[in-house]
Amino acid sequence: MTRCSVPLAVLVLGATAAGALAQDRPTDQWLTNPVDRGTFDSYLQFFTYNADLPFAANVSATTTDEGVRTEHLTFQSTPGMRVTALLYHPSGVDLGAVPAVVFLPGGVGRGKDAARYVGLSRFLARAGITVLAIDMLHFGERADGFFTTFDEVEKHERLYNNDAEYLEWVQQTVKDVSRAFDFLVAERGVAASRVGLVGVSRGGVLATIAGGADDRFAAVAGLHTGHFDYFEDGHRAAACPANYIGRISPRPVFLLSAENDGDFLPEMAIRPLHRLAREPKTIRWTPGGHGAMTDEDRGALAQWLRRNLP
Amino acid sequence: MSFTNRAPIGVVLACCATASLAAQSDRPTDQWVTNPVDDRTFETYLDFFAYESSLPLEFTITGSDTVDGLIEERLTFQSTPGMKVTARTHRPHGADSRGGVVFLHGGVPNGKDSPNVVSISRVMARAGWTVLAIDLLYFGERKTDLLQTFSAQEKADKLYNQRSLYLDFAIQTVKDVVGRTHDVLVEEYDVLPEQVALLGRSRGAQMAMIAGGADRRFAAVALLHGGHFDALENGHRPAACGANYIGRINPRPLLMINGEADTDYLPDVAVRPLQRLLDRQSTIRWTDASHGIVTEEDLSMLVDWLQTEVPQ
Repeated sequence: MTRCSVPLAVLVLGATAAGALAQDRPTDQWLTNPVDRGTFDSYLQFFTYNADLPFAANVSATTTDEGVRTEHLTFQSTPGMRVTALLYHPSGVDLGAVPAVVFLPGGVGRGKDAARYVGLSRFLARAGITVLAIDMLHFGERADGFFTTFDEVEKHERLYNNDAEYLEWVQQTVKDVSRAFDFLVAERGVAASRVGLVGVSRGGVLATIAGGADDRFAAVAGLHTGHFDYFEDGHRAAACPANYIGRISPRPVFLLSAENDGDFLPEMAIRPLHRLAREPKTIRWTPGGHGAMTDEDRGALAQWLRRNLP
Repeated sequence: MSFTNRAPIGVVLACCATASLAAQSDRPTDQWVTNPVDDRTFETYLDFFAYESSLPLEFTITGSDTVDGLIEERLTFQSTPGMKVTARTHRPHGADSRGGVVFLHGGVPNGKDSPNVVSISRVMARAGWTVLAIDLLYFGERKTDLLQTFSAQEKADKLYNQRSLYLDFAIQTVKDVVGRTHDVLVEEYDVLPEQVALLGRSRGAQMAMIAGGADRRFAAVALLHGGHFDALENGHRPAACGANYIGRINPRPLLMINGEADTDYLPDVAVRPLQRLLDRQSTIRWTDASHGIVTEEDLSMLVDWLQTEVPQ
């Protein structure tokens, strides 16, 4: 009994310390009080782009494996800005007959090519969903020297906590996402009413923003995402997901989070954002830490997408 | 004989005037020139003009010369990550600077190096000002593939009437101007921060009204032959509309010099409606000139006005 009580005391102390740490984390006013409709509408002009710009798409490689056809391609998003992407789709099907999603990876050096994102994209493709996974600016094949190590300190110092630069990056990413939608519809014949948006971690933050700003996406899923990550200390109002997530409604939103996420802290960064999401919303919690995803989670996501992109 | 000659001339003149008025009334406009956005909406724009003040300027002088007692330097500095601004300065030799002027050129291919920009800069430098003339993105030494011929039609088709791209251009210009030119003058040329004015000509004037409204560090703003829409412009986003900024330069002094014969910024369609948004303290000068013609009297007035309005 006594031997057990010591570790218990340590656990209690640890939990208290963790709670205190969480309480000390920065936040902002929009998480409790998002901007009004007029302010939100004024943001939208900053995400507009020239829809007449040629995509000038270039497919550099095509493979077919286990029923999934994968194309490695690039397209022009805004003048002179090329997006690198992987398009996964069930082989032998008409893309106009199946739903599709634009997929945003997390803030990792390999971008869309990270094994975990390739695996999830292929899983969704096998479930009959076309996936256009794009690299966000500065990541993956769009690495441009802005980052050198891609460690958390560098990412936060140079981008996530650099509020002017971060807002500019958010603008470009939202434009890239909207152009990815256009590409799927105009170049690949996907039905415009059947395109969703999925993002993981930092990509989930951006999916929340892009999904709120571009109401053509029929459904939006944010996986392991939240308001501030652990090292984030502030952003401009127009780059805050809290000002967008509630605007996704009446389109459905799916939010998957990990109970022990040490990056987006559940009580500080996730649950308050969940409260701002409006119906219809599906909130799913999974065991484990940041990025954990079980087969059941993947299955739930695929089912939800198929149900909401009919 | 003389009577018969006069009658057709009078008829022709009357027809021309009517046609001109009709042409002016047919020109596109927008709601902001009569009803600018409210303060809350305006405040949302400012986030998008923010810049990283801790970014190294990477200030580099690439050439230096002395011309008629003036020191002229060519230089570059970093505005936003990876974005180099090309510029030149004109300043009096061996004299304490009176203050600084940031100069934005019109939509001409050689940008800051156009003879008109250089000559106006030299007049101000001889009056004791340190003039920093920068190239706008896509112009001068910052030329890209976007504009090739720099004809009015090409500029309208590829930039000024491309609303999203034009908004990006306005944002970058404001970051170049607001973000860094002020810093360059203060940090590299020892100009006092409260003694920096902003001057724009034609398209540069459109950008100067936006930058001057967005940032309050400029002590005074002068606009030469600027207006709302030029002759080929047909629309822009509200955040790229000078009408939503020009009234916010107040209470800082503003000078507008425009020509009655301007066929680019039509006086009754593109200039006077904008001037109605100004407070009574603003200084407005009309000349008989056509677009871009700046007389010696105009320049004298500009210099006198700067010396009066920018506290020494």
